[in-house]
Amino acid sequence: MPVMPRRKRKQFYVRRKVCRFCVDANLPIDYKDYNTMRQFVTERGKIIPRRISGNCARHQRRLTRAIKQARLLALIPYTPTAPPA
Amino acid sequence: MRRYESVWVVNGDLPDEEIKVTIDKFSRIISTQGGTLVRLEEWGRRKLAYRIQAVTRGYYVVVDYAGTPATVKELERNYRIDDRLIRSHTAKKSDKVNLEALQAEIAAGVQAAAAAQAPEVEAAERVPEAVAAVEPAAAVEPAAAVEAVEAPVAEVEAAPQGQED
Repeated sequence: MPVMPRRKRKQFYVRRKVCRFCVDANLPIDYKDYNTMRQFVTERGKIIPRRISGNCARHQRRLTRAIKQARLLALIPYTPTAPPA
Repeated sequence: MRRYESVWVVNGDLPDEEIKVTIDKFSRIISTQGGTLVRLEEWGRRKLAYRIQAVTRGYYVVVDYAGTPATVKELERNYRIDDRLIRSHTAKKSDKVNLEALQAEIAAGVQAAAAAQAPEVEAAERVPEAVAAVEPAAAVEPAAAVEAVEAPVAEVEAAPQGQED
């Protein structure tokens, strides 16, 4: 890869991400609420990292736990289902 | 007493009566083991996110109850024995239970259920007349539909054989 000339100041727009669960205190983290859980996993079923989702550490921990519980109950997939062979 | 919440995933391929029996069985275990059932919410059949033991549908039931650790222990032991239940989950919601508040909540839940059922009963009373009028037509239609569906299938099945020969 070519070495890019280093600019004095990298200018890029950073949108301040905020934890959705902090903003709305009424929004509970509930493993039974599979529609909300689904918003925090990728199409491949992986849990979206905090770095991307902007969740705070505390809520991310709870969310992770809830997602795993929902997976166990087959409410959300561990991995996309393969078409039947 | 502590407050717990359990989710039961009953094998959705079982007939309704069998599911009902299973739910009743576990509800009874709660009460016989010194627990108090607060609310039993049936989600009904739902497609599972993945197949479990060749089962694709689950009948979901969310149970809210108060009990002791012994109640939960006995329940979980039974979860493992009964293979009509394909998944289960238990979570503690609170360490202390105010019995008076609990009774009030149960009463409120019963009332809500009664209120929900009342319109259904009214509707059921009105239905017989309507059904009487509709039934003859309805009885004829499905039969015709079945014939219509079966006929093309028979043709399709017959056609390739004819070509092969």
